[in-house]
Amino acid sequence: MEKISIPIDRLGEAYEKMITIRKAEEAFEKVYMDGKIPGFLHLYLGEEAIASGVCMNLKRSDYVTSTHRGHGHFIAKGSDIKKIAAEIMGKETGLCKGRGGSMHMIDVENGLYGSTGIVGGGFPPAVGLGLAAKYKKTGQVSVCFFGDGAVNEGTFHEAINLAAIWSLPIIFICENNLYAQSAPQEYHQKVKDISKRAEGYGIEGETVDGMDIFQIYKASRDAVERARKGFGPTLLECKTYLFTGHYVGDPRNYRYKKEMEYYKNERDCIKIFEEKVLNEKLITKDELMEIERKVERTVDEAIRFAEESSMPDRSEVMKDVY
Amino acid sequence: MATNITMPKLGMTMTEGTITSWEKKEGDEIKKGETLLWVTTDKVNVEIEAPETGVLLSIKVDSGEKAAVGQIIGIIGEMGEEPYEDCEKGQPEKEDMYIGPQMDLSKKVRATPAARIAASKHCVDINRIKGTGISGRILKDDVDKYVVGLASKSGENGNAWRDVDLSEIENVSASRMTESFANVPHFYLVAKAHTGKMNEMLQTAREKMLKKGAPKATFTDVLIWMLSRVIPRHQRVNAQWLGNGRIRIFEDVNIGIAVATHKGLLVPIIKRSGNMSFDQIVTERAKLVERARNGKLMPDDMAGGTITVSNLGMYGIDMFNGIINTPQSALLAVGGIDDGMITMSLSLDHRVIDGAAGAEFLKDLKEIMENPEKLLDEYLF
Amino acid sequence: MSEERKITYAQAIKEAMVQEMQKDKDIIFIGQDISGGAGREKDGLTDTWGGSFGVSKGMSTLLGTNRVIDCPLSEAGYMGAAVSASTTGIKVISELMFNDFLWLAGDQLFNGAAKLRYLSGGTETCRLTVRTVMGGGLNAGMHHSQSLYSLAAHIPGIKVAIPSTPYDAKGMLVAAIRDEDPVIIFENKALYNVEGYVPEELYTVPLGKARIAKEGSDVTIIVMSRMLYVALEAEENLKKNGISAEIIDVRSLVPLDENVIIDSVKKTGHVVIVDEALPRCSAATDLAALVADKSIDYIDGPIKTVTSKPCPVPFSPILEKEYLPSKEDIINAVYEATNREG
Repeated sequence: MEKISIPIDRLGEAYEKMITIRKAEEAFEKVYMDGKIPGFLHLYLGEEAIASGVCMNLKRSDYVTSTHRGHGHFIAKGSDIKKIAAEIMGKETGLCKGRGGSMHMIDVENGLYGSTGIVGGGFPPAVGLGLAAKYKKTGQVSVCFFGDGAVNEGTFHEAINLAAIWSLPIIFICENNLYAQSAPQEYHQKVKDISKRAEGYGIEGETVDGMDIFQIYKASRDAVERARKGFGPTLLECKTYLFTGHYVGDPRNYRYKKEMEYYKNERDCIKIFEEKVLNEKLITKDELMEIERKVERTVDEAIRFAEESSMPDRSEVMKDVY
Repeated sequence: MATNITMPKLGMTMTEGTITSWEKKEGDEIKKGETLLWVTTDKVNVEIEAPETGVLLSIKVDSGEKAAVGQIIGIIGEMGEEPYEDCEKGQPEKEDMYIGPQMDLSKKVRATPAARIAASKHCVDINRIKGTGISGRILKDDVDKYVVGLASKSGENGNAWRDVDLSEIENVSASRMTESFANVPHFYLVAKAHTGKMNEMLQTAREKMLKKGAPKATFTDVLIWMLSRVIPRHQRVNAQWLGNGRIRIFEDVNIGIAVATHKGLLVPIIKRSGNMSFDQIVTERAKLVERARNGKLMPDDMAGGTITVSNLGMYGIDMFNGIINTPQSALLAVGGIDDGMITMSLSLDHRVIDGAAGAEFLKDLKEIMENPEKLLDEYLF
Repeated sequence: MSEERKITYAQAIKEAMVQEMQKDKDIIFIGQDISGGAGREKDGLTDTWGGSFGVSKGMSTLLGTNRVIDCPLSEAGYMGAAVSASTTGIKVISELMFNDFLWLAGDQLFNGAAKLRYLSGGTETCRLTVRTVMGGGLNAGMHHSQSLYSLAAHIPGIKVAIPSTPYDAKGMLVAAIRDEDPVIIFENKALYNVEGYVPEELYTVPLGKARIAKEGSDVTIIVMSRMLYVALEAEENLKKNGISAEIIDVRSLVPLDENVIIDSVKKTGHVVIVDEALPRCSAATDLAALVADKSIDYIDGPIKTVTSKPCPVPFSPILEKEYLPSKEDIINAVYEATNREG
């Protein structure tokens, strides 16, 4: 197995993606706690390596369908973080002019076909996008992110079977963070490695360490390559862990303390990356810190931009209704 | 701007008409309201007036020819104006576009349902009331105030009065009754009849018919059924005065039934009742009465009556004399049933029928009413 | 004196379930995250969630996880299971986390539960109570804020309750659980913290009975769910302007209490229907049609409906506020209905 799958010249990019998601989510959490974000807020803290590693293998034109926990996917795929921040705060400068909010965003320009408030809602659209890419012979791939809980929805079965029989260029990325809201994976499904389900549909399946961006990068790179060549879909399971609750404000009383501490202290995908690249002397500490400072500035600017933006005008409510 | 003349619809069942004659030639000038042509239907010959002043530009259907209702039969316009081409030709491709009702809505009175009901109840013409609602809508309150306003005028002797506008139906009825009572020499024959057997027959018929889902039969239905069979033996009650020493005797029995509605008295006609079975009469009567009560009667429903029946028995009236519904010559006024007896008063036009002939008819009717089995051979459901 | 006892709408719902389940061992309660930490009883981590709004917190501890059963994210699956289980003699309370997920569970409810009694020639019934959460105003976005009771009311065979007060929430839930046929109760998430008088003992509020929330003489305002409170605010303002409004809380869309509505409209002659749901083919239009049909002779002004705007529920607070019916909307509608220039 390749130890360092990501090309040396792209290590900075990998780090920047992960740290941007981390810093942005932490900033959103703070703004939410300050009462400046309405509604629910589902954060991606701890899972940054997955969106980053996968999206490094995608072109801007490739498709992504996301979940209710979608900020990371949007940032990694290249959405403007200013617009994401503004959308989360319900501002007119947001990705969807404040109409969708955190849980319902789209950014078609960057291939993002939407986060959704409906668990399992992203599977069928991913199939449609893959079908269109195949039909139009564009070479695009369609990536579908989802969690371990969503695998129990009927749409998972229906969509993945369609993708399989039509040999569509789709990569199903399961972000297995061990919980469906408050239900532990060991309760809500009997299978431990979700990638095993691939066999039931006659497609490729693989489980990787979702805290190791190098493993994610390699597995998704291979899956994307297979898809582009017409070899059909892949089910890629990334075992990960959510550092915060289901949403901001969830006290996580259904989890084991030890488990939370273990993941936070020993399995943080960003620390794992830093240790690896520093140990191997592929990048210097200064370089990483410079990236971090740059990202902090970007995130600060995004938050400021969002805070200073206006709310949409009331008259906008019926716009685009037909 | 040219105006199309189309074949008018002159009755519910009319689908086409024949041009009897054009009173003008192409190129003639004509004034609005002047007679333009005559149209014949299976019933009548009708004069059609010019809808506009102008020149008869074109005759599309000649005298003696037929045209469907709505078909363009001619065009009026200004001198020198080109008549329209056929609709199908020379027009851009039709878009499926809703044009809206072809009527002038500005002439319709805006009033709430409650206001209309109140106006009708107090017999006031809603057109005379000023609405205070949004866009001049007439409200129930406006009607109530109008009515109070009418009542508040007090006369010389201190008695308050209010003037009430009759509904159109009441107004027509008023002038016709005056005409009849003033010009027709009425006389009245009164007779009583036992109703026991009629009632038995009615009960049996009701049960049978209700099972079939037919409307509920009434005493009047039985009477109409009997009348329809007795009248042909007494032609003069089924006749009309023509004047100049002539009367017209009708072949068919067309019985009018007086129906009280909230807008006034209406008399729909059961046509050719002599050819109808009992259940056909019940169905037809039920349909007409319902139409009358809902204001849905068509002119055809009220045309062609040869005799009228008016029943006030349900109001507890013992007997009354009715005014003949001209140009008919007979009206049967039916009172209530008391102790198995019913009292009927037959109003007759003495020019058409004399006392003895009238009495024979009434005797015959009484006989059948008391012994319906005499008709039972024909009693078919 | 229990009359003084006030608890919240959420507490009233829990109390109804707990008391009825303690009384009747044939009842089970299933849904997503209604307990939390499922399967971790021995580590003391269960009963740590209690539903998205904490309504059922404590129930699995009190009644056992064999009766308060957490479900995976499989709405069609567990709802269908609830439907069939409830035909076998047990009674099922099935919670659908948000009514927006009806699209997922709907097939089993509308093609299954709703048709069972009819299909079986009247011999089989489905003793199912679905509790679900509706309503906007909390900026939960377009997938967690809809008000979809009209959809359920459209399908024959489903009873539809939309309680607005803690008292009704408890009484109607008990009535629903005891009902022989499937009932969907739409709880309004914006009402969970509303407090009101609720008797401690078990009681029922029969399904199919509307309530006159406020007597009046000039206009009938028909309300559903949270709109009761918006209408009550409007009523105060109207009173100051000399308009006496009668407010009727529908409470139950199926069966529908036509008499109370019609009698009130006959009395006032003017009607405004306030419905948080959307304006087309909705409860509001349905009631407007009822009023037009059954009391047309008494109507002395336009029949007005006040509803949300016909667009997805927007997230941004300003847009959501604009989307929802407001006090001002009701006042304006009353002015139009009573033929006053606004």
